[in-house]
Amino acid sequence: MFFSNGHPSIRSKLASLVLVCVVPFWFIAALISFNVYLYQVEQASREMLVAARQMSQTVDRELVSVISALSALGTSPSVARGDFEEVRHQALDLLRLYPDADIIVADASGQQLLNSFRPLGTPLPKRNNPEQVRQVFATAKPVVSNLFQGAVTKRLLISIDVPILRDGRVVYDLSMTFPAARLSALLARQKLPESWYASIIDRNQVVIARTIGADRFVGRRTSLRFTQTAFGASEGNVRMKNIEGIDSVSAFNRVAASDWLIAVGVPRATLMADIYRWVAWVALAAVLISLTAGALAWGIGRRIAQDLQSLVQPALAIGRGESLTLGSAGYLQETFEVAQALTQASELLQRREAERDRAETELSQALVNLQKETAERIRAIEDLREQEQVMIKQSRQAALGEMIGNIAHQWRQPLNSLGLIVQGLPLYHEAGLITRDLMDQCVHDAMAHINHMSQTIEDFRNFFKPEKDMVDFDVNQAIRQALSLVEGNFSSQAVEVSLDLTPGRTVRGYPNEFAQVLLILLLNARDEMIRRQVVPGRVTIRTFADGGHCGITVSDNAGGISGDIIDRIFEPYFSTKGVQGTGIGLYMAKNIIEKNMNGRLTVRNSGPGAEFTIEV
Amino acid sequence: MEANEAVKSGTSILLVDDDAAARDTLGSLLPIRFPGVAVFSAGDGTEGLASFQEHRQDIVITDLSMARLDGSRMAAEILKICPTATVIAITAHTSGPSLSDAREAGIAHILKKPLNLKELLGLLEAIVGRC
Repeated sequence: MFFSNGHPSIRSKLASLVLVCVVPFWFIAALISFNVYLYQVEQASREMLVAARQMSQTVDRELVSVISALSALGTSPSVARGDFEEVRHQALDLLRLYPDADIIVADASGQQLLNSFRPLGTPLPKRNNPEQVRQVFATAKPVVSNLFQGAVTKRLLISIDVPILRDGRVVYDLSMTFPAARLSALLARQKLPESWYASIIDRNQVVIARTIGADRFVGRRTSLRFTQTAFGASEGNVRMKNIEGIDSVSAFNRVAASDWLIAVGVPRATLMADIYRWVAWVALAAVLISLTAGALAWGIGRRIAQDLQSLVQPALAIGRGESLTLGSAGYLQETFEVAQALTQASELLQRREAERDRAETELSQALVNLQKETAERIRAIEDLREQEQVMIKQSRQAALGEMIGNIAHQWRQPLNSLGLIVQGLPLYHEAGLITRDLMDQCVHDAMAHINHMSQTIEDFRNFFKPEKDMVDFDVNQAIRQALSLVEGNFSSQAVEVSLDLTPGRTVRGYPNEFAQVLLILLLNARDEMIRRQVVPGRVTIRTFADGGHCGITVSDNAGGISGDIIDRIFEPYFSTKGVQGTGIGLYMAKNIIEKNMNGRLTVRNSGPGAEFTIEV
Repeated sequence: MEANEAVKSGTSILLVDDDAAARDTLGSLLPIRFPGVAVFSAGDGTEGLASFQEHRQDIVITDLSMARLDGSRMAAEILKICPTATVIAITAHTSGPSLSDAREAGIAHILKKPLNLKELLGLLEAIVGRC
């Protein structure tokens, strides 16, 4: 729940946030609790001190009232007269206010002279605390005793002794002795808060009275720590183990009349119980608040998470290209905005999808059109190729015709000469001139003509021999070969061909095709000279080095090519020769040079005529 | 160019042909048949015209198509100089512009190649007889 796919959830993050917010409060609560504890301890200590003071005053008043009563009795006339019977009566009167108490009159030796507990004349023992009697006689001041055990009753007692003075001198010790339990009862009447206790401790650090467990602890010495702290001081607070062995907090106050200590204490556990309860409440409240905040955070986190998660399906739907209407989705402003953005994104996607579909349709239409167009073009190209085939055929036929004409021309002269030699034989015979030498001469001449004719046929045959592979060939030789095919024709047409050849120019290609190009250029030049009646016609073929290539120019004096057609002469079927022209020659020539031999064929007007330049 | 030793008959023939072989063959045959006839030869029209201007041959036998000054033009010039001269043209073409040019130039006889020697000799006999 906290982590899925290794990512912390919003819920866990919010819970952490709450925790981060709550921790300082816990710390502050702990601080406050500690302060409260300190305050409570101080408060309790102060209250105990107040209680101790009040008790101290109460005990003091009690003691002072006894002292006053005894002093009053001591100053009665019957005492002065030594009328002990009367004194006993008065003492018994007084003792009605102090049940369980006894009044004793003793002399300086401590010998009891009168004991209210016993009838007069009964033999009486000495006082059990002669030191106190001696102190009364010595100081002539009232003395309150420490705890002691009664000589007669063996009870734990307190005695208050006052001097009886006659003529400024102590003559008797008048004392009241009462059980220490009276003081415990006095303490009990003080209504201390529950679980508080009070005790009275005499100058010997012995417990005189105690509100709790008086029967067990009265007569025992108090703890050393209390003694160390309290004695020597008039009042104060102390924390210690009390006589019961319980860790407690106490306050003490010194009783003025007797120099006793009144201690008021409370077990620390009791004191702390309040604080612990308070702290527990605070802690509980903090825990509850934290839990509530955590739960709220958890709930809010879940709501936010749900809100966010509610966008998952729509987002996936967008991915699937489905139409989206989120409407009022989104509980939070942010998710609402995201939902709106998703809706917009969805609309945008839909729109783009529509656009894309349209574009695709257009594209496929365009593709169809393109295919149609391509098919048309292919058909056109095929047509063109067919046409080209036709053209090539035509061109070949034209060349063939031209060549046959040339062969005829080349053969006419040797045939003529041969004819004359043969026809001359009868003439020689008639004249009787036939000799062996003449016959040999005639045969030699005839064979020379026959061989020449045979060579001519061989030349033409070579020219028409198909070429499969590119070869390295001498450009100059190819030029001479081409020229040999037409020279007879050219000389009969009065066209001079002059050569200006740079030797050693070798190129790679198809020599017959190259020769065909030269023939096309030469025959074009010749035709143009005839058409324009240029006499004498002159064609110059020049070869030269052109960088790493070979340059060949064929220039004539036929007047050049007019500017409005010079750009079109390499187009197929373009001809200036009327019905005699096929318009194929230069087109073929350019194809051979540029496509088959990767060269260039260009034309320009130069001097008296046109100049074709071949670069291969 | 070079006149035969037999100039005593008084008849002279000029052979004009750029084909040296045919020219020489014919040039060696003609004196056999016509021992008294002087035979001159020239390699083209210009040379032929020059020879004619010098020797005023009676008969001119010429090829029609030649590089420098073709047969028809040379014949025209010759006939301008000497309208009585007889010009015989020998041509491979049996029709076409060169033929009509030849006729226009006033060439009397046109023989076709390959040359029928009998025909030429017959023709020459007739002309030489008239001379």
